[in-house]
Amino acid sequence: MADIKELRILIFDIGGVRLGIDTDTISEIRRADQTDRRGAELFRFDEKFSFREKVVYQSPMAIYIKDEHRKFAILIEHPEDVGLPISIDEIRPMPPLIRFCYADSPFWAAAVKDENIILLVDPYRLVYET
Amino acid sequence: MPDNTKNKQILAEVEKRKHQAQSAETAEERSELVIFTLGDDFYAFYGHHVKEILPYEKITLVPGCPDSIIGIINVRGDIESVINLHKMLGIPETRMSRKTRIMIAADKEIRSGILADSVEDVLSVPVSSVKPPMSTLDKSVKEFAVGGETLYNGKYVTLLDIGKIFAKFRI
Repeated sequence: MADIKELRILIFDIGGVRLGIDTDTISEIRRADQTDRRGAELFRFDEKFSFREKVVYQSPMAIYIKDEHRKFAILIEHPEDVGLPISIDEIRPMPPLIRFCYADSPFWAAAVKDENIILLVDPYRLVYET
Repeated sequence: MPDNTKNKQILAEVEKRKHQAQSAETAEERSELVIFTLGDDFYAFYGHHVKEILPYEKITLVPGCPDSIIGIINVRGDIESVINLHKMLGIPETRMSRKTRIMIAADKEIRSGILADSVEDVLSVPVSSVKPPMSTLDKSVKEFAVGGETLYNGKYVTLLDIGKIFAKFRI
């Protein structure tokens, strides 16, 4: 396996939390109101988790995730950035206490970009394990 | 003029005893305590467990985390969790203020931030001044008390065991 030096991520904000998904896992991005879901399940962060701020989708998009076994999409707010390079030097594992008590977390790591924290989402854990 | 030899002897004896007491205190083993508040109550950690005291900064929520973890912060490029002791000890939460602090604590291989309403002082106290915890302590506080109770400005301070707090997160 080749050395991975960086990830390219899609960044969006849900309820005041900046989240990022590896673009390699995404097959398609569409405006949610134009989406012909073609039988895909739609997952919403705000239905799975509580946020401090009210979650409002002003310009909702659906991101379709590559998966051979299941057709699914995740509803997100309009991305802030698509394909932002994140060097592996900017990626930090979640702190130990969170790993202990939240082992099935779909947030597999955090990236520190320009002093800001971006939670990196594993879309498969999000859908299969939460 | 009356003879004041007796008074001089008494004063000399007082000075001698004072000196002995000071020497004994100096020789006694001491502990450093970091005194902080949660609500109206005073608590402490052993100083060797507290690595840094930071001003309050934005804490990033990790959705789905237990309530006892407020979220994560960026400390010079490292990510630290922040524990909500109010929740763990059953203390009503207070608003963030200019006095709010995040203590970075460590025990063995585990590190985490801990939110405090204020950090009041760092004291060096004789080990013997740390008494067993009051029997009237709330059960949720007693669970984490290290068995210490001391006084700070006339207020009771409950000494908490950071190891017991961290252990609560292990499954």
